[in-house]
Amino acid sequence: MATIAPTSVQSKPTTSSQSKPTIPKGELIDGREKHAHLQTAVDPIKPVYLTMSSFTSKSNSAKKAVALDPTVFDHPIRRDILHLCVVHHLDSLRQGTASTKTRAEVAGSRRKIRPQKGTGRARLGDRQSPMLRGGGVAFGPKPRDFSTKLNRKVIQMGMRVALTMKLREQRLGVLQRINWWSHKTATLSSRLDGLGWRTGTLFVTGESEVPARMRLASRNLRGIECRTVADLVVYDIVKWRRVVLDLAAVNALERAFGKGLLAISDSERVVSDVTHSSVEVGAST
Amino acid sequence: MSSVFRSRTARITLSNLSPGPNSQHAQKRLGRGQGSGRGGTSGRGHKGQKARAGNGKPKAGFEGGQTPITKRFPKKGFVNPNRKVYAPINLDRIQHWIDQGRLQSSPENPITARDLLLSGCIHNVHDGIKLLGDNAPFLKTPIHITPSRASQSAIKAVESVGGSVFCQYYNPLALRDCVKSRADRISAAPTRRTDILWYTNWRNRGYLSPEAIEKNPKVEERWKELSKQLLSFKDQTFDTKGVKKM
Repeated sequence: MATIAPTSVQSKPTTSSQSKPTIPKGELIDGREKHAHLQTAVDPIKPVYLTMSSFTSKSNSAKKAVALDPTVFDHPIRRDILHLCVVHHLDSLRQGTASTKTRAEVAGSRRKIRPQKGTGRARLGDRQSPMLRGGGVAFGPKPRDFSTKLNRKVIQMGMRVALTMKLREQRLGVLQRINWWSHKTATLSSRLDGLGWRTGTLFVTGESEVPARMRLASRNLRGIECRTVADLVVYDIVKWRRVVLDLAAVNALERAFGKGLLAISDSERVVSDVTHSSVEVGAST
Repeated sequence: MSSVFRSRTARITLSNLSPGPNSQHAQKRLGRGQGSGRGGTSGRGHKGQKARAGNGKPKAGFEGGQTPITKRFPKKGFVNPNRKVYAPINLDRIQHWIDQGRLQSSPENPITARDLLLSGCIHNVHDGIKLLGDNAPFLKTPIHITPSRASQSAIKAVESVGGSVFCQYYNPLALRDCVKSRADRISAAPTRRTDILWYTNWRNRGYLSPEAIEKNPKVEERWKELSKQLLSFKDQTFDTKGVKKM
């Protein structure tokens, strides 16, 4: 269980009380959250803040927060859109090669196997009749394409919803860079145990390839997977318990799915956590 | 403690996703017994064409057995395989485009189908550009243009203000290359007799006429040889050697 109770995503620095943000309970229901900073149109769009995670440092002091584009990471939750994206993805994975032979394709002669009349038995045509053993299959499967179409903008919205969902569930982490100092699996495994990330964590890098040592160290760990942001689909985010991005991946996702209403420069990206109340990635299940 | 848990919504996982409410239709299950409401005739009513399996509709054009209209009347007309549709462009329109700064021309860079299309002066090049002389008095600027065809009045009007017209043969591929601004292919020469006669005639400002070869600053080496060969028939006489005179 996460140490911090569910927090709403707050973007305003709490000047009066520096401690914990107020917790609006029971408001995290599908698409009906209150967006304090989005309610009035005159409010400028402000980034959402997420406490940065780190492979190395354990102490909570000098924690950093990462500023995220609210159009990507603070989108109203639409479960139906997630469902559409997941079904569309799983449809696309179907091989569709199941095949059976019809009576036309089964080998054999078309000779009438017994006279029409006079035998006292049933009328029969040829041996390939679906009614007979060894005959064709009447309405059997044939190879076909199961993939379905889903509008590009729906898929893009699904990505926003999925990322927002993970952030609000405190299951989204951001690292400076997804890399590990050793290629040895044992070292990474013990560190992930320490972080509580050992089970069900998807690491997503914005670089063109997963860094070599990280790839080698993680590839034999069940419950850990590394991939590039180009390969990321909505299905992965929903499926994996915890998603950890690096800053390059955040940039890539905001470029691909952001609405361009808020430009966060590299200097504004990482800020001190003291001034901003931010969401923290949960450790355990 | 339990109230704390109740206040939290369940984590969204693959197992608790569902389509939006009322976004799905239940499948009609036909012929599954009286209780279903769609047993018996399965919603098809009693007997007749529409109650039977299959499409149940006659093929398109069938008029219930009476001679259909397509057979009632004789065939008429024909399809001309040599038909060409030229995009008409009039001189006043070109002048208007030049006044707006949307078209420029010089002897070295004449107006082509590409320029007209990209400037919005025409919306489709069809089989080429034909320059027409409507409202010719409006033309004040000397223009240099290489259309596929030009009318006599247009030629006269353009040349009277100091411009030039050279009609160039474009087959579909050459026209496409012109529009796409591709220069890596040699554009085809006219092959049909009527085209050869038309484009070697100076009256039409054909680009293969000897006068055009002389005057056109954009003339290609290939055109000189082409012009010579395509016009050589004019000097040829019948070979009468060895033919016995009657």
